[in-house]
Amino acid sequence: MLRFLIRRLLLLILVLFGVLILVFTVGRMIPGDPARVMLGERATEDMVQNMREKLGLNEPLVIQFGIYFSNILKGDMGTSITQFQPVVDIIKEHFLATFELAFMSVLWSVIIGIPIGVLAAKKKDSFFDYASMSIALFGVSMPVFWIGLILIIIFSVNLHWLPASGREIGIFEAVFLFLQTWDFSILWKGFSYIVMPSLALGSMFAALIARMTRSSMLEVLNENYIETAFAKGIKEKKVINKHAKRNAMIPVVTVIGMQIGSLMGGAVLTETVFAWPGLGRELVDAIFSRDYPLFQGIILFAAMFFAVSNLAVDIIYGFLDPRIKYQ
Amino acid sequence: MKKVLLLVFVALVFAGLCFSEGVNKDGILRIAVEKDARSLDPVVVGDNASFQMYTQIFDSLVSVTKDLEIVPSLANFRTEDSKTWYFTIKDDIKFHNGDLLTVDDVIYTFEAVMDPETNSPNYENLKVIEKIEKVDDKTIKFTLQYPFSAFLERVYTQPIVNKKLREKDPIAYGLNPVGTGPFMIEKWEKNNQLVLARNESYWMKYPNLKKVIMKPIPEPSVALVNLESGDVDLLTKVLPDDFNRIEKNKNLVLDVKPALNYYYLAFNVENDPVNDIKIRKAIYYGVDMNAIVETVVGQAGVRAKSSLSPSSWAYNPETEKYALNYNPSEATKLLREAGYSNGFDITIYTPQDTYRRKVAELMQIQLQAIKIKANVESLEWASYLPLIDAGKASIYMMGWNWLTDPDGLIYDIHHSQTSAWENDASSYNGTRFYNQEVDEALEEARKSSNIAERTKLYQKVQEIWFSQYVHIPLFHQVATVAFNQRVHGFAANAIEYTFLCTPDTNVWVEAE
Repeated sequence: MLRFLIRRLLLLILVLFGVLILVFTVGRMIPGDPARVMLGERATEDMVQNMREKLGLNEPLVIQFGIYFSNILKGDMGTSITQFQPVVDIIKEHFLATFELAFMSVLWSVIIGIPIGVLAAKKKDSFFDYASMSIALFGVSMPVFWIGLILIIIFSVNLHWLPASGREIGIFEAVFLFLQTWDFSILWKGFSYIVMPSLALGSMFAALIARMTRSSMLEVLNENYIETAFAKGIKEKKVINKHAKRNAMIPVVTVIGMQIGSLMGGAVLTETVFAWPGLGRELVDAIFSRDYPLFQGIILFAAMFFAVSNLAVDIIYGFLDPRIKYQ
Repeated sequence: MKKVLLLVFVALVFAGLCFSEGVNKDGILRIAVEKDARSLDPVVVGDNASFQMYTQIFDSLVSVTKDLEIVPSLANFRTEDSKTWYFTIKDDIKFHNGDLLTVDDVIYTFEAVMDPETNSPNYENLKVIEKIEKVDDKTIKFTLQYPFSAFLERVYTQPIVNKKLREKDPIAYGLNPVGTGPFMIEKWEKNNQLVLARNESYWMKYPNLKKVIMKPIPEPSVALVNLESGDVDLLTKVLPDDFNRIEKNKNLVLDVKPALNYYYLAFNVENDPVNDIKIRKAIYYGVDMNAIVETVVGQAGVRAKSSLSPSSWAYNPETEKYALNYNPSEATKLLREAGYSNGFDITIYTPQDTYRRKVAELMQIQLQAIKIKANVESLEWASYLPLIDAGKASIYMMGWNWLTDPDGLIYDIHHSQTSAWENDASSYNGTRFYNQEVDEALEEARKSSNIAERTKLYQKVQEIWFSQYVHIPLFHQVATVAFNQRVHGFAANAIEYTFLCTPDTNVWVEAE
């Protein structure tokens, strides 16, 4: 187990290095000039040159990369060109909002997706199966943007139940405060802001999980050992919960692990629709304004998060299926 | 008679008292803005989004009324020749932290902007300043490089910062600014909300709003939904498609005013084939500009026929004869004369805003009829501006707005600024059209303070420019704001600024 972990961590560093090179070079290949964007339309050439000099953009690319890389090793991701703040501070400021969004979306999709998938598999070819899978197909195909607007129109404009956008208080903070004060209004406040964006973001994912769970369950239910279990006279409920579900979950957990990472990226659109102050919006703004240090930093951070969540999934496999051993 | 007058006076005072009692002084105004500020330090940022936010926290030496008249703010001003300007700061003006505003703060602010190391975007606006001197404890003397009649509006764009605090840590100052303005910062969560609280001891007047919350909402449709649901009270920008929807809603008010801006299509007259005036005219004849503007901007603008709008004192009505109407046969004839009877391929570059992109796409369709195959490329600013600087865009679209004096528009986009494009550098005039008479008229007009004389010069510039078809004027957009009817004292204005508590505004909100 320890050797497995060490090997995976070394591999992770290699992957991150690759990501770094890729982001750095691709970023510089996009035409455009951060100095120009920052100084605005009224800037003169002297000012632009002066700024480029100050930002070190006139050095050869290799040297720029060398400087950037050695700073990264020292834990310094640089300073944002457009916001004048250290990149680390900006990531710290916005990460929690995006993480909350991704976390809640996964939570929704697990709560909604897995039971529906299991039930659909159990009642294969029934009305429930067809209905739920059709809705799931709908969920997979609908753009987040559209679902978001529909939710806002129903719950904010017509029913006035939920705030249309923004984030007054984070859900984790709300839960924490609630546990201290037992004041339900705080909990509701935190929940009211995140429920629509997380549902919009999670809907596609919930549909995906429902479909995955169903097909995986069906496969497992056809295995010999399940037949044996039934033959032994074990009740259906027990067979499904104890024998089938656990094994069927392996591919589902893989998808969940992959999705947590990609939700961080998928959050970009959701964050725009719901004016959610997360990393996704920062990333888009940074790319548009060619804020190299900022977008490099955010992408590197997201890659790291993605890799770590995949590692966690690999470890969870072992708990789900004792046959999987780490070497 | 005296008694009657006295009675009237008493009645008026009483009415005034009654009226002022109706003003709620505990209101919170929530404003949806398109983008968040990059920083709140007026020395290092000057983009519109940041400006709308930090002008609530800071004051400038002068201020602007709703009718765009420049009036004294932190200081009284005087000048005799428009070259030397004296500003005397008013007594007992305090920063939010209690520091007294001094001449040193003013000098420091301007010097910080003028310092090349700062890389301030406002440098270009103020580089006309040659020297700043302290005359006495209250007075500052600005000496300009030449007499400049529009100097005050440049002064307006530069709010005054607190020297002591900004010097100590400029980055922290940008996150937690301390100004002299009507509101002070309470909390700033980037991309989420900027919460401003009333400056209880504001020197100019007592602000009616207790709090102002500015929420960046990038998606216009979502911003509108927020207004409808009551989550925000005010939108500073409304899309024309939404006009009807807002007008039908009895809780909302839509306010529209002509604005000082100019959207245009420009030709780079050094590039083939648009270096030929016949080709430029053929393209103009080949598109139905009335229909395009009507389709794209609708009620949100009017077709432009010159760079200045008809409401400006310097507008030249004679240029209207150069505004061409759709005439494909004339276009074909001109193309034939220019040796392009089989048409040609060309790219129209536009920024990524909806209006200009739509205009380009409609032009693309109409130009097919005269065998011009136009390709539309819509780029984000970071790629777009360098392309124009380098002279690579033969046809591109741009927009420009100005404040109170036409100089801010007409000089910037019509002066050749040849020195800039010799080394492919940035200039506001990317057309590379050079005409000595135009340049001289612009320089002369800037130095004069005689309106009649300036008008004549500006009209000459427009005459030369538009007779050469260097631009195809597209439209002047209107300023639109929408707000909840609980909001009082707010209105759209020609420069599209968010005036909340200025010399002649003091917005308030009814209690919910």
